[in-house]
Amino acid sequence: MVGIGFELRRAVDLDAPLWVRTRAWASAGLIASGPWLITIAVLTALQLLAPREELRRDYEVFRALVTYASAFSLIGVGLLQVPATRWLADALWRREGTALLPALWTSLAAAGAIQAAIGAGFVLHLGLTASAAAGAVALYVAYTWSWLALVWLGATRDYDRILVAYALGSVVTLALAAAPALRGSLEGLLWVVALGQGVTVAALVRAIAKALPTDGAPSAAVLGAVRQQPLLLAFGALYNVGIWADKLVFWSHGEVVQGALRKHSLYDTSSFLAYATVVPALAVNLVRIETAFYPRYRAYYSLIEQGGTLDLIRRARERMVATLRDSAVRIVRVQGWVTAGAIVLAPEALPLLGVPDGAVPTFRVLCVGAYFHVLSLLTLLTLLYFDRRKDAALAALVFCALNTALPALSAGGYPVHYGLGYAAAALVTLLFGFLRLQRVLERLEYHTFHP
Amino acid sequence: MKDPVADICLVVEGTYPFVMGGVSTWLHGLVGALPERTFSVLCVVADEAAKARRFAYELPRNIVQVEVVSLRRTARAASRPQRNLDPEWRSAVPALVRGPLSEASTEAICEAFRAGFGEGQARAPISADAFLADPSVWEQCVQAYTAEASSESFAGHVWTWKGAVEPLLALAAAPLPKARLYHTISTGYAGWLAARAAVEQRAPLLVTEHGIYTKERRIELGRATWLADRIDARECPDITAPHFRRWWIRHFMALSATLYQHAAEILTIHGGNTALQLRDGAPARKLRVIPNGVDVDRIERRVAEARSGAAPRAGFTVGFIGRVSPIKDVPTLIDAAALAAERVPGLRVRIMGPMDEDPSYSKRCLEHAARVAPGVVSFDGPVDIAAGLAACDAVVLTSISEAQPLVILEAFAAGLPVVATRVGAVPELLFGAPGDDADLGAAGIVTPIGSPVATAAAFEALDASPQRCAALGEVGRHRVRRFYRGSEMIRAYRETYAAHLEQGVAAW
Repeated sequence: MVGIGFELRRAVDLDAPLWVRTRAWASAGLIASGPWLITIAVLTALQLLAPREELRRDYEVFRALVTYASAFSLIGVGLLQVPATRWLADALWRREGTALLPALWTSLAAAGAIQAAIGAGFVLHLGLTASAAAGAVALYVAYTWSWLALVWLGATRDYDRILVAYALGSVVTLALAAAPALRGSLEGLLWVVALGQGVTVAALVRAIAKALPTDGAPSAAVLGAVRQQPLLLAFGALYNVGIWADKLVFWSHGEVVQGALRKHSLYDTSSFLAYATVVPALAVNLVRIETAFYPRYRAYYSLIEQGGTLDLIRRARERMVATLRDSAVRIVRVQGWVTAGAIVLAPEALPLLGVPDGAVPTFRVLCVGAYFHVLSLLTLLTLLYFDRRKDAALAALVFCALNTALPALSAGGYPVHYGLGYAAAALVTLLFGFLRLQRVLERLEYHTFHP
Repeated sequence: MKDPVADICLVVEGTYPFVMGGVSTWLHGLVGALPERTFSVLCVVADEAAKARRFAYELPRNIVQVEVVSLRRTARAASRPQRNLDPEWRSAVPALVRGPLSEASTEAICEAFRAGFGEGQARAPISADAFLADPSVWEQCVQAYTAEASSESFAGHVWTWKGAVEPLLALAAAPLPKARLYHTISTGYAGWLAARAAVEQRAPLLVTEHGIYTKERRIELGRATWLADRIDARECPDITAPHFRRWWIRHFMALSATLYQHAAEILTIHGGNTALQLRDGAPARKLRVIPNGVDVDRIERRVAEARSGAAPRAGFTVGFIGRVSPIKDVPTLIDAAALAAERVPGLRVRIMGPMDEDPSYSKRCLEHAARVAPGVVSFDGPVDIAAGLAACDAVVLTSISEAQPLVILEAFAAGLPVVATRVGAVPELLFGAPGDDADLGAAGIVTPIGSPVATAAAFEALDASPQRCAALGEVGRHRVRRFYRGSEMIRAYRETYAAHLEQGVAAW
């Protein structure tokens, strides 16, 4: 009798284990917030270069263009960011480092071409001078490229180089802006920022090229990964559209700047500043993941892989969950104090930043919203740590839908109501994600064996 | 076209009609000798690749249908829990996986299957992942772990369950040829599928065991790499721990017990097997021995023809006729050849049989032979049995497990002495069963398992004394003529089939 026995080798599955991806998600979280801070910093710095009265109009168009460029470049890259983050972590795990650099070139080329076409199509209808239109498109493509490069640098967790690259770009922008001829026109302003951003992109790409082997063949594998991970694609798309949905709603209720270019001065300024208040939560989170959560998270999965008993596995899970809970409490507390401080000090602080008093009620509500928002972001990223792609995508859908529908309601009210839609959307997303996460953690062994 | 309804459906595991070997030859002969009955063959194979292999036999006319079932699907099925999972299944499959089974629980499982298998119902295959993702099944898996394995690797336990469940689910969804009687040639997966078929088709069920399945699995599980070969070590490094080896043996015993429960009759080819069948849960009243047989006159005639046509040869030639596979322990034979060659000038050891069952093993054997016995051992591939026997002065087997090797009966018919290891029915064949048979005397030399020295000594003794060779061969010729005539075996099966086809389901 020929014994054919049995067979349980699964189809070859070369994905990186979860614990490898965790750090990639962690930096994805940082990167999700980084662009915001940079956008805000650039806008604030240029605002403080007090424009002459006859240039007010140019500055207004400039600010709107920068806002649009960052918004739509982030949404565009957001489609690619989450699946690509995972693909990069997996490729690094498989020691297929040679595939990383060609994948970056492919992504830069594809995203650059698509975004240039979209950007050109948009600015052509604004009635700008040719030079200004070209500057705006260059800025748009430069933003797109910088976010993409950040994804690659995030996967290698090279945070120092990110900082250096942005410092370099900012110095170039501000140095060029010091020349009155350049900061005295719309064209000049757009090209100054575009060039600074270009320097940042160059520095980021150089850092990536230095860190990665250069002998890989060109490949579109990373774009294939996007298709293979429809849930991550959905998460990235929904979440990034969700972040901008309330702004888009308010722009449609706001003032026309030029052609299709719109703004809502009160809401825009207030929400950008409110975002800046949640940086402490992200900083605490990054530190907690690296120092407390990650070791226990890794211990849990290693124990399973290395043949731990169920009893030991459960205890490791309890330790990991305790760390997670502890981190959550710290973040809630630290960010709670910061947000409370921002709310209390708003009447004194806002005028210092050149924002009128009238923004205080809107800003305060948006601060509460940003508080819920950052907590929900961290919750969703935690769902991704445990490979709960479907739950994360569902939560992103909730956020995207509510952050469109509820701001549409609150936009009709008084300024004090403006932020309520966003705050409510963020709160519901937070609760939804939290309940999902709690369920996953309760039955983590089941979920680990049934991804 | 409507599927034909055969009289008898033969359920086999990994053998006929794809792979040459003792069981396949036996079946081929049996079917060919019963032209008044129609047969279908339901063959269980390891995977889709095995399914695509070519038949190794030209099918007799009375085989009306061949159905092949793979234990593993190539595509990964979605791993979502199935909402439409039969409630009976939720308890029956885990119970079957858990083993060992008491008579009562075997009965319960059979009941569940009876309820779960609606007649002629097409079932969508369920993946092992999807099945274990069912919360109640998962709960049972965890409970089983807590009850019996709480100090073992949890991942190993889950992977073991997945590994055990997957083939059962594949078999549960497999299409079945319709037949009036199901006859399985082993227990294990083929036996389980035959039991399912008999329950669904309300047909009687027969078992013939050549080797004992649980014993063969025990030997395989003892080999260090066997489980590791089958499970991705990166997924689960602990799957080969002793606990999981014991677990698999219990699992295969549970499969056997389930089959025995259903079988109308449990047949085997020699008395040595019945003790093992009893241990595995076979009721004594169902057991019967029908010895193998060969067509003695035909073999004698064809060997004589082949001999008369061949050139006379010098030296002493020993033939190994069988598959090159680990169970045959070919390296021991090669070592024996190397040892004996020093004292037997002109010794040739010819290994005649297919080498494609385990290519890496065959390759190792070739390399080993080239290193230790160059010019002595040759690998000749599959040969015509009569031509092979005609080319030898003696026949050798060094297997670590055998049932009742046909090749020994064939060697007897050719009047050749046999050197074989003490496994299965070998002592009974070489020395005779107690009584008239034993009085005939010895027909060969029995050696211990894994002993190149003893095998080499036997070669030497036979080479030294042509008279002894001839005497042993003569005893074999008498023995096979008197006790192992193929016509007797055919008659026994013809009668057994007739009795069960007539009685129908009432038999169980």
